[in-house]
Amino acid sequence: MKKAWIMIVALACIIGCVGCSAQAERVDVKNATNLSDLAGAKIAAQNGTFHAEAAQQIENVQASTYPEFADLLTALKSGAIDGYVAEEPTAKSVCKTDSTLTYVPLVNNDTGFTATAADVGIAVGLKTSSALRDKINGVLATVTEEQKQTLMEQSMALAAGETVEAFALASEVPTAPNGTLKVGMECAYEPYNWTETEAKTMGAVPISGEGKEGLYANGYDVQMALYIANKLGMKLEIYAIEWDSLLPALESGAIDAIVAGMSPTAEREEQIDFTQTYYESNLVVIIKK
Amino acid sequence: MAFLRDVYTILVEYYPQLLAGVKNTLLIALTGTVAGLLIGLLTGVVRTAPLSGNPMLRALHKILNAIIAVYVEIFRGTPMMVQAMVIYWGYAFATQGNTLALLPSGILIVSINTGAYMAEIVRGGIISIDRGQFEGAMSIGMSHTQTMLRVIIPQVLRNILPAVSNEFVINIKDTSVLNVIGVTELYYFAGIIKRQNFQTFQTYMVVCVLYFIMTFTITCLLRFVERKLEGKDTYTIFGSQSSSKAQIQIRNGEG
Repeated sequence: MKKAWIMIVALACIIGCVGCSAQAERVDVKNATNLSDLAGAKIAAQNGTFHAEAAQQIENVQASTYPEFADLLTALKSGAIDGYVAEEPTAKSVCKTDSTLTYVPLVNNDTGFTATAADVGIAVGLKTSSALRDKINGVLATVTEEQKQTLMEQSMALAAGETVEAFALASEVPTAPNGTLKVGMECAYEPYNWTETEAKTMGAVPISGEGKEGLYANGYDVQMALYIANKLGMKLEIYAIEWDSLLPALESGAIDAIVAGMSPTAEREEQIDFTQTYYESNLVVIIKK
Repeated sequence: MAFLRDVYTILVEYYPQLLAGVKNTLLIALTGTVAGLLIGLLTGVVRTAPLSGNPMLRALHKILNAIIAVYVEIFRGTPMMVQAMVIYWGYAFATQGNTLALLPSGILIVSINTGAYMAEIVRGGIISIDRGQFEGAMSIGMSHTQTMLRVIIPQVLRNILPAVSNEFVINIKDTSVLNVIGVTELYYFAGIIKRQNFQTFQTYMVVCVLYFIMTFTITCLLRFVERKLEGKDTYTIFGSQSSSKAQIQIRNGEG
């Protein structure tokens, strides 16, 4: 009996010590206005993205990664992290719905770091030497910079629960489609692509696939994919696929294109082809006010 | 208070998704467990069958045993999440872009995974049956097939019921890993709800309770079945030539 008690007390001591040592010094980032104010802070990013590398630009950063983008906001709200890396439209979208949050640009003035278009520009991913590449590039060439900006503003408005009169990119659904364009995206990355359990927002597209009845996708990527499909005279089908499964889905032919806010990085370019970029944004770090 | 209100809102707003998730989870777990048990029985019987005198049959049996052993070791020794990814995307690559329907592929993955565990459970169950049962059956002229079907398997099924219900409960929980390939079970819908309301803790709390209700109900049901199979507690053994007493009364399992 005595032995058992000693064991329990010893165990409690060990857990206590581990718990205390884990309480590293926290940096106050409340009034941060640029990257140098975030020195030593706990900053997170989504797994397998360029954001995780970009976070290293912060001096003495305690970097960590999470598998899903939605988890980052939870981590920030719970206090587990001080901030997380995101693209500016996402940050604007999140800060619009949550007034306790704000963001600082991820530009390192000391090292001159600014993310390049290949880092943060997003493009349509296609199977290597796909015939679709030239066709889609042709469609994207007709989209003006202003239309892109307006469409992004509109996507952010929709994500925040506001209404939009008419999308900046207008196109007619073909009456006699000459094929199907299967597009894969996460459907979990506001305002690029998100899921709705009913068609709540204007222009929401039903998600294809068995068991996905009643689920809809919308966002910048969805409207861009719809525009591309319509202009090519094809029927659009949207598939909700996990981030890590997007590449195998494309390479196996389960989908024809990735329109998922994916950046044409060098590593990905080794496996698949990309069109020209259809949006470029800046990286930011979202923090609590 | 705010927490309870959030939970209430989730239940009211997303009950169709939650119900669909519960339905699919139960469907996959139930069919997966039953199919797994069938796989287990089949492999168990094959592996415990005596080797035939015929050299051809003998070789075939040995090959079959080896295949079963490899199957059991591989599927017991790798995570179901990884199996799901390998099977689902492997099929897509092999067929140049055809994908398996999600719900059937979920059931398939759970079935073969459960089958690997069941193979061992059934084998243990058959081994645990007293030698005398086999000898008795043989002595009244039963073939091996008859012995298995009429004497051994019924006893095995009763003996392994606790282990089977354990597998069932495990399957209800483990279907959650199928969300990696997009099977619309409960955990998948939890993700969809979380990404809409950004209330991670509240959403998973609701889902946690739902999982517990499912597993606890199944546990109670199967315990009831177990008790039924044990038979009545109170019964009478009538006297025979070997016993001097005319009747032996058994009350509540005690003489």
